[in-house]
Amino acid sequence: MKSDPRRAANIRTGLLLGAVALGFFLFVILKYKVFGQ
Amino acid sequence: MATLTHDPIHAGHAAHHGPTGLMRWLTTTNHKDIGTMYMIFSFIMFLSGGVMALTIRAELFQPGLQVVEPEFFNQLTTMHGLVMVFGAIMPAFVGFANWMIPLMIGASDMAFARMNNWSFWLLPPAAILLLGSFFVPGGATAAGWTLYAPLSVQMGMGMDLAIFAIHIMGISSIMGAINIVVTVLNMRAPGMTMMKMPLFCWTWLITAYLLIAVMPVLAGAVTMILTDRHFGTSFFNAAGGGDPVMYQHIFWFFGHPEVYIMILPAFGIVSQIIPTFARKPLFGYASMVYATASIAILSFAVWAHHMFATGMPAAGQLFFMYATMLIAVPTGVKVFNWVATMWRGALSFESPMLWATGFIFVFTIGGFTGLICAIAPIDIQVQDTYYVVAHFHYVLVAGSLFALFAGAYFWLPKWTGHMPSEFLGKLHFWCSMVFFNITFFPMHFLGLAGMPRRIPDYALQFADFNAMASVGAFGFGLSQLIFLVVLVKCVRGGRKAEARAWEAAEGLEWTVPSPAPHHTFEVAPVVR
Repeated sequence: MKSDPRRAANIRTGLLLGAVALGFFLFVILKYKVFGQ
Repeated sequence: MATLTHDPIHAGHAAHHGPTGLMRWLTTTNHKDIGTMYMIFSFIMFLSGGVMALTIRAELFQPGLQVVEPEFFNQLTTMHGLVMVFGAIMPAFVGFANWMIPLMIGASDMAFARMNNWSFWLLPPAAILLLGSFFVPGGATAAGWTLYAPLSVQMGMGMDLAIFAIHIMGISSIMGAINIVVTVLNMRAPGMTMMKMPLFCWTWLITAYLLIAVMPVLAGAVTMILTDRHFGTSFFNAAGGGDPVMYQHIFWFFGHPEVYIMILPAFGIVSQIIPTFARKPLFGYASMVYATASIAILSFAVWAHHMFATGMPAAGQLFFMYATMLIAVPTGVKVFNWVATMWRGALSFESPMLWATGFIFVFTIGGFTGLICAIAPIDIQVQDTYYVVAHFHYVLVAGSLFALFAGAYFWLPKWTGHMPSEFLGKLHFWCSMVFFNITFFPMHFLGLAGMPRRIPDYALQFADFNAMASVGAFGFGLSQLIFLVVLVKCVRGGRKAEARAWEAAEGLEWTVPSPAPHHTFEVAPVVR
């Protein structure tokens, strides 16, 4: 299958944004779990 | 507005190929189908939340307890908020984004078409969990839509269902937001630079960034409630060394940007409509973009203005008070620009423009009462009174909802191929406007006189204004049935809409036929 540069760029940007969202989620919980308040 | 070279006849085709019937809707990856499903879903949830609101108003029609039990009243206020915020307003805007953003930027579809399908189909199960929680032992959660600890830690299993529903709706929102960001950044037609984009795309791009930043925070907060409830943690449980006030900080770090998530796309819709019916380009396009971004950035620095009554150092009060007031500056820029766009324009007041102009009037009232609530010493007095209820309904009903109706009347010709009934559209507007104000304006006086929110009974001195608000609420609720009639009539027939349904409408979406073919812009247009 021919690689489509725009599709690759879409996936790259999407994964980056997903990782940011996951990072926020984990940060909120772990900050208070690990470091307390 | 940019000119373009584009052949709408050969750039898309009307036919739908693939499964038919129910399977079409379950498996569709088409942005228009998914946009339609989002809007139908949100309208159903709007009616469900509306029935809850009317039950609340029936109980409050006169002092004393006559219609529902106090426990059920608390469930109703909580679920009304959750259903309207997460089930009605947010999905409605996502529906608009799905339908219009690809058409506006000249894209053939959203960047992640399959994920788009999944984003939508997560919502009905979440709604079933949320609404179904009324029927579990103990009933639905009654902790208020903010789900404050320690109440939320102590509630029955309805709370667990609400937590899971919020998780699912949050995942749906985050996936939708990622889709919108990637679509706007990567899928624009050649020549469609960022600063040529319609303002609706800009406001949604910024909203999507807000969603990605704060929905995980809400998910984190409710996950911590879940672990406090069932897994022995003590994040918010004071008996175990936790802090209930910390929940409020985390919740409002989500909650205040959430307010802008519900209003920025509304600003985008109004910014599309006013230039069309003023027959002038939008005044101050670039300043609108910068104002939107400023509002979004400031929204992260104001959360504790919801918490003045919890007690905080004077420096904290001053910081959050002034930061909140600062938001009035970019918001004022927007209101000024809308009025300046209308100034000396060739104005006409078809239904979309009526709703958009009405939005400016009543939303601005909500903005001003917001400024009053921002003043810490006043806020401590009006905290948890009907003044706050009046304020946020002026922003969310007269703001978000009126803009949604404005957008619906504006784009219905593009969605259905038929012009909506002008008579019914105007009737809908005037009934909504009058009854909205009869419902919510007296609440300012009730709040200033000290009537607390979320209480099913009240002192005799509040009786007259409450009776008035309840009559207004039933009038407002019934007025929304006019919209249902408009929708049905518009889908079934009516005057044919041209590609450019409104005389001075600008933008790529008006270059494709009405109704928009199933596939559009398979060959990208070139914007000059």
